[in-house]
Amino acid sequence: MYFNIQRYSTHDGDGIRSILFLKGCSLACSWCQNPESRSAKRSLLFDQRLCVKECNACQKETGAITRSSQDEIVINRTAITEHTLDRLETSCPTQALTVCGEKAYEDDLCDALLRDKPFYIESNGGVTFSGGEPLMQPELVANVAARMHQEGINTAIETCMHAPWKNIEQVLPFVDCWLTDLKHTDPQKFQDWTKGSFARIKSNFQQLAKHGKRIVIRVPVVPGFNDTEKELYEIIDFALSLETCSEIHLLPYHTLGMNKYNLLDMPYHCSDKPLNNPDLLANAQRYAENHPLSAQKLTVTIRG
Amino acid sequence: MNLNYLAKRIIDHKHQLINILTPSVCTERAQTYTKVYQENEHKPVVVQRALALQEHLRTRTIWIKHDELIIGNQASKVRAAPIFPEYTVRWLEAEIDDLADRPGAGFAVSEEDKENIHKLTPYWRGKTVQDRCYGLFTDEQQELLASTIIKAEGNMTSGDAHLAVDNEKILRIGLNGLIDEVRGHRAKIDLADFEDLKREQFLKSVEIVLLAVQQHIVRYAELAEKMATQETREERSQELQTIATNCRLIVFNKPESFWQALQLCYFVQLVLQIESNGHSVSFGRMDQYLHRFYKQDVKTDKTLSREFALELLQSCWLKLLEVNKIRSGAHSKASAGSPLYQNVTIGGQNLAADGTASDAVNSLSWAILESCGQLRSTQPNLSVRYHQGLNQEFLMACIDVIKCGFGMPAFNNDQIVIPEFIKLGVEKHDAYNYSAIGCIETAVPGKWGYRCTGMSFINFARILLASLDEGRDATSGKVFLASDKSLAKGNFKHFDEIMTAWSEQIRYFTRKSIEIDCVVDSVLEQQVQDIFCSSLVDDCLSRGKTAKEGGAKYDWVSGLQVGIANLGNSLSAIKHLVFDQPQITQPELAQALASNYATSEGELLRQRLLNFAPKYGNDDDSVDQLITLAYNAYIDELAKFHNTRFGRGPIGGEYYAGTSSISANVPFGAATMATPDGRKAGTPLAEGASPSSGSDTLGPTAVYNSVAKMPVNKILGGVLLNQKLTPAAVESEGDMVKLSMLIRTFFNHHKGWHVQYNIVSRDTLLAAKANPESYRDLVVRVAGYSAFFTALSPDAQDDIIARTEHNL
Ligand code: SF4
Repeated sequence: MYFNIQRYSTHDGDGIRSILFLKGCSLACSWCQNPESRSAKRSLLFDQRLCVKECNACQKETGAITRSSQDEIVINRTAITEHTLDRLETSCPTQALTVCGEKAYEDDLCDALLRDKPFYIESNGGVTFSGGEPLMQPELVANVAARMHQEGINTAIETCMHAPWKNIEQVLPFVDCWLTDLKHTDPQKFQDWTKGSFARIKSNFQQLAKHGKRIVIRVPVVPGFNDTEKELYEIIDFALSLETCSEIHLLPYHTLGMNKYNLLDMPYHCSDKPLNNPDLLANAQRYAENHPLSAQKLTVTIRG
Repeated sequence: MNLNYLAKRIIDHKHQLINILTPSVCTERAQTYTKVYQENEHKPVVVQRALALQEHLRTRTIWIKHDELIIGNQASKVRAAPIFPEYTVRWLEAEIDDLADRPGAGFAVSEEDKENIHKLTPYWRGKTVQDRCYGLFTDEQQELLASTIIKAEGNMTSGDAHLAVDNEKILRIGLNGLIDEVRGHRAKIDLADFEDLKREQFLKSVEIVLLAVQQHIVRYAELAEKMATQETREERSQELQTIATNCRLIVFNKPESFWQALQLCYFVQLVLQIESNGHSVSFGRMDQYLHRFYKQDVKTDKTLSREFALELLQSCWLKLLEVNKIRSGAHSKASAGSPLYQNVTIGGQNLAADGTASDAVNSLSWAILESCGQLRSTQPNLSVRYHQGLNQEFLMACIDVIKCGFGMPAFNNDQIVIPEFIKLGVEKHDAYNYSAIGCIETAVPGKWGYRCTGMSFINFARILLASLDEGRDATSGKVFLASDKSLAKGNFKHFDEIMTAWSEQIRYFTRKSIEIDCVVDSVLEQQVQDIFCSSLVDDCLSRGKTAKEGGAKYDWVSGLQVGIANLGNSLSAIKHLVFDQPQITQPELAQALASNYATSEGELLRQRLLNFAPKYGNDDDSVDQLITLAYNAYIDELAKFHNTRFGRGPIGGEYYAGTSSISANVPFGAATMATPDGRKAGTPLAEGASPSSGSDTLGPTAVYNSVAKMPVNKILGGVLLNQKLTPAAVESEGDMVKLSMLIRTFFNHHKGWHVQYNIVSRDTLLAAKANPESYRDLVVRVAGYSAFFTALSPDAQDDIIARTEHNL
């Protein structure tokens, strides 16, 4: 299952890229700005602002959607079946109600991704797998990535590394660049904020580093979670311990996807303000550059 | 490059010009032309025109202001628009009293001006180009024009222009050299020969005009000398003295310095725009023909500093901004911001004698780019010829200038223009020397007749609506070509019948547009010969013919089509939602269109049309192929026709398609009822070959893929693609490199014809609309050209705000 192909993406890897967003994630980070990617199944998004009062197209498809006396649409999400979603896919004329997620057919995905091949080739760009967590669909990633390699197109993956090693192993030969999240190095805090196991991630990192692939570590810097010097320094120390990692990106927390929680009827627990702490990021950058182990030249990029 | 520097005199001059909100009109030319025409009614028109221009140049007000370095004024007051009565007086008589109140295109007309104009217009009634055209039009043609489905007003109310003359030649041989050439041809005339008698009238006229131009330059030299003696500032006095000396030299001789060469080019440009009010008079490849002067003065002899050279260029650009044109109220809307589209082309390739091509970027290309980036004006319209070997540093510098947000430079692609020109029959060395003309169209400077685009405009969206309703035009209710199929009756059996109906209608309207061109061309040829202009276009002198009579070496023209994306998206909506997966019936759609999607039901149906059918610009083959199919009917029909010069000398003499719709998408949209793509009545149509506003949702690569599926090699009048980027999209060096790769791929791989970028944030535009006084200098890309945003009418402003903004 995938939910989007984003073309002319210029901020996730080298050159001009297309990003394939796969659905389903193995973590549940509270700051996630792509909440529609979390479920491995299709998701139903509803935007009240686009809904037209006089319309009842969706209600004709299912009893799980009703109009309240205040003219508001009420969705009984537990009663929405896969069959209902099929019907809802083409029912809402204004796109107030949209079904997110489509079945992934490898051939179709490859065709779609190859449409921008000339741009990849000219710019040394390529295809990036993202999500969700792409490593939850290792076979799809491996097959599509292999096809891209056959076409001479480079590949990258954006992953939280929270997946069984065998999944990583499966895609390893076909992925050139690993854009890996490292959110925290304290197992308990990691568990509290992401519902995942740091031990597994750590071990994956150590194994991956042995394979000589390019690793870029990406750190979402989130208020209240890891926005202290101590926590960022520990992450940098960890990155330095990996022999094939020479790049770190610090990504200040933003809230651009916050409204999507509303559309999904999901609660939002993270801060509603973007991170605004340029000194912290600059200090971390300095720390990495002056680190005694930095002989292996760790570059730190700060991105807004 | 330092894009944040401008010399004080340039800042002041620019400031003066952009704060003239309602320029005046100048009646001097109209008065002199009227007088001379009246005195010489027994003479051939061409001679009348030569004498009129001669007298006007002899007597008109000239001035030197703003501490300018390049001199020459088009009208008696700064930015005043001269009146050209021989083309039309009709709208002038009707509108002259209310000109100040026009939104976005107002002119201040004094009581004296009004009196002068009212005094002279009666003489011209029935004699103007426009009146004589109406004397030739059939009733049907007149009705078609009245319906505005086809528009040719611009063609019969002004001169042709849309060309670049041979500046290289005038710099090489000087005015005396040109006069010698004319005399040489005249010496061979045999007055016992009928054709020669005609030729002699033209050649005699050329000689009168060239001598008059020389006298005119002498007047400027005298003025500069006088001002130099009166000037109290020593430095300026010397400048004026130099200007005078320069003028005295170029009166007769070929220029010797960069300053002289640029001044001579400007005088040529100026007289072209006094002789005729045709616009898109372009300079051609200025970085090539002026380079030897620049190199000699700046690099070799070091007699000129680079900074001063930039100031000279900017002084010239500001002089271009002073040139003005007054159009009728209706016509102004299609040319939002009253632009003159004076193009300067840089870059591209040069062809060596051994047939190899090399990158033509030189030190002057850089200087011109930088001078425009610093000035950020609407003139010149700067185009860069792209090719695979274009210096990457130069391309990045172009992006730096694009980042300044005034929509320039635009790019044309050598890799499609050159081979397609050669296929047409243009000689190889000429093809390599092509330049942009006006907005995006291309021609060979000094060798190509008028209007490589710019003939009649056709409204594709309205013709589609007629195809869907028994040939009935939805706006006027008139039936021009009847058929028996309509959505309302629901009697289209399958989608192919829609395409057949379209094909029948478009072929009919295409033929009619050519018929109208034919009338207009024949009147222009007989009534308003461009004498000076023809003297600088090969092979007019040797053939003894004006360009309009077939004097040019090459002559292809194209009309313009408006609403291409609306056509494709409408067909796509009908195909998908009415036929393939039917959810809307034919009568339902007809009803919704007729009611302009009134009622909530209509609105919901409109939403389906918008959301459930593929749209052009998203790399979706189903709709992209429909556009090509529909467009090909037009291209195929067009190829059957010739222009009036066919077989009379030029190579070519034919038509091809072109999409440079300038800002006509706004007024054309205003006259178009609701369309099946979900567009409401009266709103703008899509411009050029760009996707409809807001309908391209997958970013620029998808847009390029869609555009590339058009039959680009048959649309040699230009495939206009306008893209709007947010400032954030080109913030970092890395972003800019990626944009350069995007451009390279589009041109190298997709063989794109043209692209231009508008980098202004939506917020800035909204703020500028609300507080125009703080944004007088904000320049935006309108279509194939840039305009001052605050000078646009509110609906043109809204159209620009609405265009999709790609956040890369
Ligand atoms: S179909 Fe869409 S617009 Fe109609 S009622 Fe449902 S959500 Fe609203």
